[in-house]
Amino acid sequence: MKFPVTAEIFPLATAKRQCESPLSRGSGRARNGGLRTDDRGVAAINFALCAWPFLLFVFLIMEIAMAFFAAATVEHATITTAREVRNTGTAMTATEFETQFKMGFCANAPVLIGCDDEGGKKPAVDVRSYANLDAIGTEDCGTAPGSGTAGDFVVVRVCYDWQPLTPIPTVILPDGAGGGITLRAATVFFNGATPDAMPDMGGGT
Amino acid sequence: MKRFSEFLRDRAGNAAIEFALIAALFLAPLFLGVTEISFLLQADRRAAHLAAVVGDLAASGGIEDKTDLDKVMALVLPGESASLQMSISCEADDMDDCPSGYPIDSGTCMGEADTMALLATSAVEIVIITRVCYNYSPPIMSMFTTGNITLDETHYAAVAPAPAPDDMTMMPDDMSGGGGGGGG
Repeated sequence: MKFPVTAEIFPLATAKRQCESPLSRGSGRARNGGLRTDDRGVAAINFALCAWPFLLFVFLIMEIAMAFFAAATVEHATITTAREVRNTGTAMTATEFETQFKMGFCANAPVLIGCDDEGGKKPAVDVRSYANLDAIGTEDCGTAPGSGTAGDFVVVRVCYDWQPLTPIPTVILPDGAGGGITLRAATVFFNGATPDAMPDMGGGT
Repeated sequence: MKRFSEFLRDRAGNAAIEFALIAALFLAPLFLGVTEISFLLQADRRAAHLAAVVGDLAASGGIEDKTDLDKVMALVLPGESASLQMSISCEADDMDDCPSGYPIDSGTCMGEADTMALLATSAVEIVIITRVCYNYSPPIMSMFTTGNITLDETHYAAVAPAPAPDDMTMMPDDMSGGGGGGGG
């Protein structure tokens, strides 16, 4: 018997060939035994048995990678956009602030993240402002945005409903609404829209 | 009924057996490793972001006490307060310029830094040092073994001198930057 050295060292490279090895040693075309001794097409049967768990793993790894890439994109876009809109020079209303943030967010998340209304892929952006950091609550992405008032601390929460290609990753990752995975990102910054609103840095009170 | 020696010689079904070996030894660890590292990188990125955000806010004078700090920690890294420690400290040419409540400390995670080089430049009068110590529990590895990974991030926010009243283009929190740190 020839020892299968290559299969021991490179199992993945030779997996397909191994999968195509015969299940049993029959005599080829069936004569008396009918289907039981007919071993034609055994490669297809072996491939069918081996392929689906293999492909399951492959697609699972790809799905996980894409979900984490999307999560990193959402976080990056949230943080970058927060820096971009913080010192705009003017105090904005809540609607203006949210609109501008969403536009910046979509520009900063160019791939994988869809910013259209179709299919519920629009990111939920929750902008709230607080006069003091003590007041920050534990709200999730809601529908009640605050304002980007100058001299306030602005908390931006972004929730994005990531739709995986298959339902497999939701077994591992936290489940969101509608069979997706909710990617969350949050940041907080001081909206120094007007210089007068800068708090005094000096201490010694 | 086959004897055991016959079973050992029987080559039928070797494809399924080899795939079981390949899946168990290679594919499953590959998948678990990919997931674990992705979670770890996400946690490390969030810890670094937390240090930067807190440094930024502290340089704007926004963080006055530990309650403020806890709120920001809970916002950026929700649900991790038990495994998260953080400190804000201040170094300055004139230590009276530092905010009165500083350093703010949550545990044994004090930022230590030689900020003399930074403070020696005339553009910098105050340096805010924030340090995050995140006792990260890896979700998959902790199924098999104990032991956490400490993510340690330090951020330096340099605060410029107060601008002259007619020159308000340089605002202190525009000057914050730099930073970094290393995972453990």
